[in-house]
Amino acid sequence: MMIVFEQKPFEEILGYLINDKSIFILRCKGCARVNQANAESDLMDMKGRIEERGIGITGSAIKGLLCMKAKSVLEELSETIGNPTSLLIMACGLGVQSVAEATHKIVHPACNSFVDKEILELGKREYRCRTCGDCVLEFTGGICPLTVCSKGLLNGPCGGNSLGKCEVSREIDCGWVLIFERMKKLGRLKEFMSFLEPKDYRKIQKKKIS
Amino acid sequence: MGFKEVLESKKFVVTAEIGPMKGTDVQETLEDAELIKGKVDAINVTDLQSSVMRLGSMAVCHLLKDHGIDPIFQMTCRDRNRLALQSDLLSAWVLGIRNVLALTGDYPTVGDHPQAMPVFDLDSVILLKVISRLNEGFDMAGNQLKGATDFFSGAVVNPGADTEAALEMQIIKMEKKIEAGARFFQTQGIFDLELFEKFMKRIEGFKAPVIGGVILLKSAGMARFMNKNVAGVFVPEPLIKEMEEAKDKVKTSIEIAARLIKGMKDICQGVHIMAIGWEKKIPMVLKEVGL
Repeated sequence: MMIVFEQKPFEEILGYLINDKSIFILRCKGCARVNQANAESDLMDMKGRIEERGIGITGSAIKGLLCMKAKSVLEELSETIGNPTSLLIMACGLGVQSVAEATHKIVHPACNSFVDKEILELGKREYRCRTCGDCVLEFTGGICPLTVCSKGLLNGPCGGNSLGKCEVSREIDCGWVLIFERMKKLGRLKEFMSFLEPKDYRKIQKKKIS
Repeated sequence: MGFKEVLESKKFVVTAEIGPMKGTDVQETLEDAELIKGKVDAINVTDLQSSVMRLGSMAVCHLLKDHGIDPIFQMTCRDRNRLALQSDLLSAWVLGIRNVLALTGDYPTVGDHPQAMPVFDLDSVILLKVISRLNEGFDMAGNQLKGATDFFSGAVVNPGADTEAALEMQIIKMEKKIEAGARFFQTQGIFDLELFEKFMKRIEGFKAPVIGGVILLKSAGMARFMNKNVAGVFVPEPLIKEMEEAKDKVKTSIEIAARLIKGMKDICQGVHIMAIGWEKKIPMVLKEVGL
């Protein structure tokens, strides 16, 4: 899973540290394509700014794939971590959660997480399918209304489309226009008329990432 | 006679629309309603129109009912999941509301709480099916109700869809809505009667009456704004010019609306007046038409 992280405003982070005497800072090295640049300088910068505010730093480290390896990383660092009142994690939401799972200490997130546009493009298949457990592509020309329509409507467009574009943004195509044009070209307007039943949300994957 | 009875008797029906205010002061709304009471067959109450947080449609419908007006409860799929939608329908019924208009709803980002979670658990077609089901005495899950509803349900259609694909889909969706239980249709504001007539020809034989939408133009600027920003509304240039050159904007606005309504009398089965703040002027429009 590739998530881009971006440092929170410093004052927000400082607010988290209000009761901390000393902290240990852990910066994720990033994954295959993201978050790798500036790891060293980001960490140095953070250390400097925190020390300036009179909070002690017991140590710091840059380690790869915190999301998957938090437990072994913390074991590896057990000697160097010292006895901080908390850990400040410069990583995505997955990384922070994995570290929190592997320690009894307070864990502060230093970053906000986003899906990167480029990654979104690369991983389009993943985002195009919501794994709803009840595929309707037969009736929609192989274009998923759940993901291509901003509202995820199943029985045709809303009244908000204009010149083939979506009401949410005129930069986005109306998903239902795409579906309609495809089905019409395929001579399958009869199927296009089908009623699609509402989704069973029990089937839509919302399981914990383990 | 209630709205349903007027429509079923094939008479030309007149409905108006009220948008609840932001807050709890209902005085002006009730004044407006009182002013048009007896002149219209029903009043639609919008459901957080344009995704702006306001007083709810159900409460205002209930107040209208108390004032002897037949309300049309507008219900969108934007803010409630299937549990809340069904429960609100039961509540509305208990409060004496008999007409429901099922809509998809605008996306939250167009309104004043753009941070809100968009729900859209159901869509307007499914919502109509759900209303039919509640009328039969069952909820969506098939559980039997102790006391059913008997709503007169309607839907919207947009004859002014701006591409052929969008228009064809409007017609297909209209058919689906009828099959799902829609027994009347109200349209987006219409300014081009010729185009509307063509649309009506295309849906000849559909078994649900159409009530044509009329928006009161306040100015040429408003017309241009709608042309640019409101999907499905197109004010032709001659009308914009007429408003621009008008010495008395109110008078011209009323004349234009009256002209459109007169034209609609031969085309569809009623008119739905959207005054958008000019509710007090509705009686003048109706007087001009002779309704």
